[in-house]
Amino acid sequence: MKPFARRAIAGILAAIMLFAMLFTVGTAYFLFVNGSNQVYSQALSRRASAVQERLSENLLVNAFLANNNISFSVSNVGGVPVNITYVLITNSTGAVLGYYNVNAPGISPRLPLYINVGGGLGQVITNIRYSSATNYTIRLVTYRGSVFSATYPPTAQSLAAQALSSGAIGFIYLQFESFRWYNVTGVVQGSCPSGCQLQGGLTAGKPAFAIDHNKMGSYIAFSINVTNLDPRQRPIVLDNFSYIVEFLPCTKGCGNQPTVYFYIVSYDQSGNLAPFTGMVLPYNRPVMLVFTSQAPGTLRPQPSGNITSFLPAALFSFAVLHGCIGLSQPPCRSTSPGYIQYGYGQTVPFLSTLVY
Amino acid sequence: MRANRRARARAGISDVMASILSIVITLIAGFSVFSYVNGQAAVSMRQLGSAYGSTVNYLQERFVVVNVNFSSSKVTIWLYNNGATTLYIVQVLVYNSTRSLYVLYNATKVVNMNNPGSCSVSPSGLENPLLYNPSQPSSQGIPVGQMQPLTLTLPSCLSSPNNAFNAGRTYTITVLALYGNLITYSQMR
Repeated sequence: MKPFARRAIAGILAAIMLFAMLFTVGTAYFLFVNGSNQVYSQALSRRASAVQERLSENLLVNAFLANNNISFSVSNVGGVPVNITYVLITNSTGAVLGYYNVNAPGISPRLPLYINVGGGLGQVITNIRYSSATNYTIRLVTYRGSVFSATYPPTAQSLAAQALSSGAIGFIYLQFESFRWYNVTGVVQGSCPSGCQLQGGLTAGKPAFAIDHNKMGSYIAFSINVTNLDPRQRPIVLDNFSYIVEFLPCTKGCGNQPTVYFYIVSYDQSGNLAPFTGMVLPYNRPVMLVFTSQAPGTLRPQPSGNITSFLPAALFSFAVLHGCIGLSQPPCRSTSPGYIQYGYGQTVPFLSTLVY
Repeated sequence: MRANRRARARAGISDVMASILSIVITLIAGFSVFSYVNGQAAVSMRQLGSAYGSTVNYLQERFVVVNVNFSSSKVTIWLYNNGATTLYIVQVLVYNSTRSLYVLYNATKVVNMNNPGSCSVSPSGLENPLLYNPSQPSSQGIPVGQMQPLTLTLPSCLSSPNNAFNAGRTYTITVLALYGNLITYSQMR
C-alpha cells in the first residue's frame, strides 16, 4: 500500500513567519527611518533658509538728535523685509541706557517696526536725553537676529560716507553726466506769449560741459538730474530762487565779465516750459531740473548772447538750489514760523561750461 | 508474539506526531527569532531617534550676542533667541587674551580654570539668572524671539589683578547652549 503523502506544513509556517517579520518589524523600521530623515531634512532646510534670510537683511541706521532726544532713521537696503523687535541704547562702556521691546513706551513709533525692501523710517525718537559727555550707540535687533548699529555723535567715517553719498555738497546729489543744454523756441522779444519749448523735447539735450556757440540758438536752457539723499529721508521742496549761474572768472581786473542767471522753470514731458510753481524732490528719486529764465518765478528765457561775450571761455557754473526741507508739498513760503524752521539752501560749485 | 514485540521495539514516531513536532519546533524557533529581531529593531530605532532628535534640536537652536557690558567685577551679556526652540545656556567661559583671567560658569560651579582646585565656588549669587542644569530641567530658558540679559560676577577667590575687568583690555566670552551651539564674542572694556 502506498504511504499517505503529506505537505511540508512546517516549511509553510516558517515562510509565513518570515514574511510576517518582514512586513511588521522591517516595514516599521523603514517607515521610522524615513520619517526621521524627513524631519531632519526639514530642520536643515529651515535653518539654511533662516541663515540665508538673516544674511539678506541690511539696514542703514543714522543717529541724530530730535528735540535733544536720541533719535535715528533707518532704511532697508537689503533684500528682505525687516521686523525690528528690540532697540538698545548704550554708552561707550556698553551700559544699557535705554531698552525697548515690543510695545515698550519711550520710543515713537513703538516697536515692532516693519520695514519693506527699499522702505525706511525717517525718524524714530527715544526718550533718552542727549548729554554731551556721553557717546551713544543705538543697536537695532531684528526678528531674524541681525544687529545693526549707529553712534551719536556720528563718527568721522560715517560723516564722510554721508558726504560722499550726498555728492560731498549737501543733501541734494547732482548727477554730473546729466548736465545738458537746449535751445529754446517760441520766444518773442524775450517772453513766451504762446508758450516756449525745449527744442527737440526733453531728450534732445546735449552735454553742457562744452557748447559750440555756432549751434546755439537765440535762447538757451540747461537741465540737470538731482537726487535727494537726505539721511532722514525728508522731502525737499525747491522754490523759484533756484538757479544756475554762469560767469567768467576775473583775470585782469573785473569789469564786463558776464554773470548770467538761469532761473528754474517748470516743464512737462513734451518739453513745454512754464513759470516755476515749486517742485518736490522725494527721497532717493532722481528728478530733472530745467533752468532758463532771466528772473525768478517767470518764463523769460535767457539769451545765449549773454554768455558768448568772451570766446572761448570756460565759465564757472554754479547750481544754487533753494527751498525747504521736511514739507511734503509746495509752496515753501508761508506766513507761519515753520518756513524759517524748514528752510534749505545748497550751492554746487563744481560744474563748468566751455563756450567756444 | 515475540515477533510483535520486536516490531514494536523498532517502531518510530507516527506521522502525525512527527508533523506536530516539526510544527511546534518551527513555531518556537520562529517566535524566538521574531522577538529577538523586534527587540534589536526597537533598540536601533531608539538610538536613531535620539540621534535625529539631537541633530534637529541643534539645527533649531540659534542665538546671537547683542551687547556686552563690563563693570569692574561683572559682565552682562544680552542674548537674543532667533532660533525655533527655547534657548538654554549651559556654560559660559570668560577670559582675556593671555588667559590670566579664565573663568568657567555652569549650573553647578564657577571655576577659575587656572587654579580649579582652590577656586571653585557655588554659582549662587554669581550668575543671574542661574545657568541651565540638564539634570534638573526646571530652569527657564529664553523663549523664541526674546532677548534677556545674563549677568556673571567674578568669584572673590580670584587673585589680583585678574579679579576684575580692567579698562583697555579685551575680554572674550564663549557661550555654549544646551544643544551644542557656540558663540564667541570679544569686546574691550
